[in-house]
Amino acid sequence: MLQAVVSGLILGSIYAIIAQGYYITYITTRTLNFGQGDFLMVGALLGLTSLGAMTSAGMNAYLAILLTMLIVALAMGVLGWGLERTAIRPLQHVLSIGWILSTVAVSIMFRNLAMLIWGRNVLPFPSPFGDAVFRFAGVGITRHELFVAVSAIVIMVCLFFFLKKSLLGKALAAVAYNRDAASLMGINPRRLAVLAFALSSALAGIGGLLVGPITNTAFFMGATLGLKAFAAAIIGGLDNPLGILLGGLVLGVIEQVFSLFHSAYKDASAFVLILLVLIFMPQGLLGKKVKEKF
Amino acid sequence: MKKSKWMLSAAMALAVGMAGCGPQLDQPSGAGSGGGQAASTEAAGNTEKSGEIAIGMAISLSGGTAKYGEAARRAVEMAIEEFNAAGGYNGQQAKLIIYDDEAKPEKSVEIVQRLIQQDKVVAIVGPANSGNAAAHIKYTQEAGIPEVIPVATGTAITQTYANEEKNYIFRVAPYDRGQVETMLKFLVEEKKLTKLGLLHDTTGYGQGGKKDVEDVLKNKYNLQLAVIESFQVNDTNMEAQLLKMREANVEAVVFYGLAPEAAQYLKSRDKLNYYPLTVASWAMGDPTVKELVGDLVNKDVYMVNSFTIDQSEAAGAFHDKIVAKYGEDLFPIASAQGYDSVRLILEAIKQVGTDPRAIRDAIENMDGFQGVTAIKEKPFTKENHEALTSENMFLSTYKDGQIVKP
Repeated sequence: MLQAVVSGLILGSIYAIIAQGYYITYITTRTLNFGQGDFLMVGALLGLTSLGAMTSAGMNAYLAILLTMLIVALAMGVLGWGLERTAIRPLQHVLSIGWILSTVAVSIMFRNLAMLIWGRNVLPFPSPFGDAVFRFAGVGITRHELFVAVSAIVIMVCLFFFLKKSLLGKALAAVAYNRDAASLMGINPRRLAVLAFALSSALAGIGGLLVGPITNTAFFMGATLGLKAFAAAIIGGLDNPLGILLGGLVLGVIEQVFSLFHSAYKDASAFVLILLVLIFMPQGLLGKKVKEKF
Repeated sequence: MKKSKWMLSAAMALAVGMAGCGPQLDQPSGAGSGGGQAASTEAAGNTEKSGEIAIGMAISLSGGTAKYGEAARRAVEMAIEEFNAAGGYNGQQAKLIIYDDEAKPEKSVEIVQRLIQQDKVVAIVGPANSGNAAAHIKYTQEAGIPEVIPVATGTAITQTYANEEKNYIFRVAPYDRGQVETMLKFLVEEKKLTKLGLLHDTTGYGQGGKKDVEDVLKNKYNLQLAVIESFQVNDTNMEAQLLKMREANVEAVVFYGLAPEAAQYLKSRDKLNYYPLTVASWAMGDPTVKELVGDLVNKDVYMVNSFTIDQSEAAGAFHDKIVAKYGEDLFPIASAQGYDSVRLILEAIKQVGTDPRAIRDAIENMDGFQGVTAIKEKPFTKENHEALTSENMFLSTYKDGQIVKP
């Protein structure tokens, strides 16, 4: 049981990292990238290639992973920027919901491209921390999983400070709060929309790097993860980063604990949870209750 | 507007650039190298020249089973070269025509029809996927072209036409039901274990395996599984399932799934520090498993096999030949089965010439055949089109990263 909870927490923190990407774009532009899972896959495969290149060139493992994170974040940021410019902005007429489909379209293109480039095989992603397993009180945990858990918290903290304390973050929040007022104050909402997408894609890419060694990597790995992360975001409340972390953790733990009783219904349990949450707390666990005024 | 156009072209350029640098990246397996193109170059400009015996091969060189297909292709090519070097049949040289079915049934149907109608092949070396075999054997059967299957293991394939006057479908791969019988014989008869757990995937492959395991256990040994657990393709760990196995104190785990999940299973075993005796179908011997988990394969893992490098001198010599020719043995068992598949056809041609119907009869009545797998000297009979039954399949295990007989 304890093992299941620990594994669930780690799985959940991965969901949470990916889900933060949904949050950032949602608060600033009220749009989401439904292809987040495939962006994650691209990040993982890019990371695999660059990490492989660096370690085979004899670089120190820790330096290599830091650099790889940087490279992946940058590359994915650029992709996110491209996504916003090509698949979201041209479709943002009044009342247009075309972006829902166009983000999916872009993600499917990525999936096929990735298949062409990296092939259809499942590729091993060796963790730079080795395969050693720590054991505490009968619970096994790999070094990489510890790294994932720590990274999830670090990323969340960084994001929190960026959004709440930095000027840029405050500008993002301002756009989210009132786009028109923000632009009157000299904030360019379009620029910030691009920033939001770049940031969210970079997060997905880093998420990919983190999950790679746990799930192995292949062109189809993104679909389920993206969906689960979306579920986590909805459960926790799309407009609350802390809620998303909580949502991710809850989802991960429930999945793992549930499969202790019946493994075949593991995925179903996650989505039953969504239904329950949406019925009783439509705004998510920690989402803001908004009273619509007419 | 001008600006957005520029963006679009930039995105295009990026996409093209990414696709362009493809071949330089990764592909540690080398399985994809040349993949589909291999087919077209060899098939190009094929007209039926007199003096050449066309032998068809419809197998996946891309897709999830590409490794099986590529390994089999190399061995088949080698067998045909040897046949030609030894003078062929009556001065006629054999020629391999190979197409990639991309692991897709509809593609498989298309290329098999092409092999029969345009390339006029006298015999076909069949597919790697059971689904593809099920989709296309209708055409080979109706055209009266013998087909020998080197990889696909679905039990029903060779039985589809068992009641016809002449069944044109043969197989050198260990069929599923026989694999299950072999696994259970090892566990129940040799190891005297009665408390077994089953872990299967939720695809057709795993479901079929579950049915077979339950059936054989009940009918042959009057036993029942203690624990039945399943997992889904792409699951990231199997800890929960393993914990249940541990709780139930099962004596051995029967694992029925494909390579990526087998790798996750082995990882979870390591993480829980719980190493139940594991017996798996031959998918556990897929080199992908070892690539993904490294040394974790070495502990108490058994899998069904028809071929190990150390099983006989012929097997070792065959392995050395493949390594000498291609630099590596991509997937030893698939190479060996591919080699035996085409050798059956070539032997038949030596005996009776190039009429497909006569070739079929010769394969069915083949005697004194020396294969590199565990195939018998008389592999087939009218009733039995399986070269490998539970009598000559055996369990093998990993030792220092090599698959060997225990």
